[in-house]
Amino acid sequence: MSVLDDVLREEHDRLMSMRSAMSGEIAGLPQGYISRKRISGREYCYLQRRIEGRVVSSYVKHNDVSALEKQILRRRQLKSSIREIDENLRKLRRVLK
Amino acid sequence: MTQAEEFSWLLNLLKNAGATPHVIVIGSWAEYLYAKCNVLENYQANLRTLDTDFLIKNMRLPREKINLLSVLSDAGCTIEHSMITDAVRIYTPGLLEVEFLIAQKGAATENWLDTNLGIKAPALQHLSILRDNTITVNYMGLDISIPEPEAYVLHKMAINHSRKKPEKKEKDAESVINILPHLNSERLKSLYNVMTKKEKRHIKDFIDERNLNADFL
Repeated sequence: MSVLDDVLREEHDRLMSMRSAMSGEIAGLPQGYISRKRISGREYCYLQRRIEGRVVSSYVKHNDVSALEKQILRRRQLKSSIREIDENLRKLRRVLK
Repeated sequence: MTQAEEFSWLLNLLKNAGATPHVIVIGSWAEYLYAKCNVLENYQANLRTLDTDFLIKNMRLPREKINLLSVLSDAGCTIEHSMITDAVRIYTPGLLEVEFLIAQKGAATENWLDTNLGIKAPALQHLSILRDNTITVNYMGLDISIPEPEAYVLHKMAINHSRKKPEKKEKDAESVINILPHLNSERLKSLYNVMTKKEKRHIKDFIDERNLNADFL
């Protein structure tokens, strides 16, 4: 096995570990998005997400909105990283065949 | 972002956290810096991998502790804590794996040391040669410590026998063979002379196995 093959295999394993770690982090983050509604002049925030095909809306207290938005953004960033990892894995697997 | 841009991003993050004076870039990224910062003339670095290793200079510095894990996490890195050991894996958003190491002190019994960078780092043998013989290079406007290339190569030769994975062993050997012709023999000799008997024996075995030209021995 050439040194290049070994490096590529090591990178493949590293990407798999990264994917696993990021998937683990995503599992603890909320899905959905924050929807803002104005009712009688006051703003109310709701976490909207899809559960078993139906859109479910949950009221979010004003003080919790900022932290929740950060978590949702973090989830999106991780999903984007995982897509990149999957793309890299596909390329590596083609080369390592 | 390219790998190099991600590496630069990481270094800036460490700099803003006040950590760069306390760490040394080792591993394949040190080789990259030997080439990029013209430390070695006409030298072309081997392949860089996705892992970035930093050697912590002193577990008690900086005096004011930094919570580097928190800084990395806030910047978007994924931190994975092992359920079994004290191991922490850090992944940057651009897919670099970051590891912090520290030199073992004497015949130490603790495998993991708490550092003032807020990271529990694995304490490994033979790293003192890298810690004690460094140069500073300027990379993308940042002053970075890296091992002197002579120290780097001697370290790789001294530990090669203990590499468990044959592919890592071979990759390290290739790195040594690639860098050796560019090094200063006198400096190699002076560093080699202060190594332990065991380390010298391992270096000699490495040289003999591969029939390398080693006038520093």
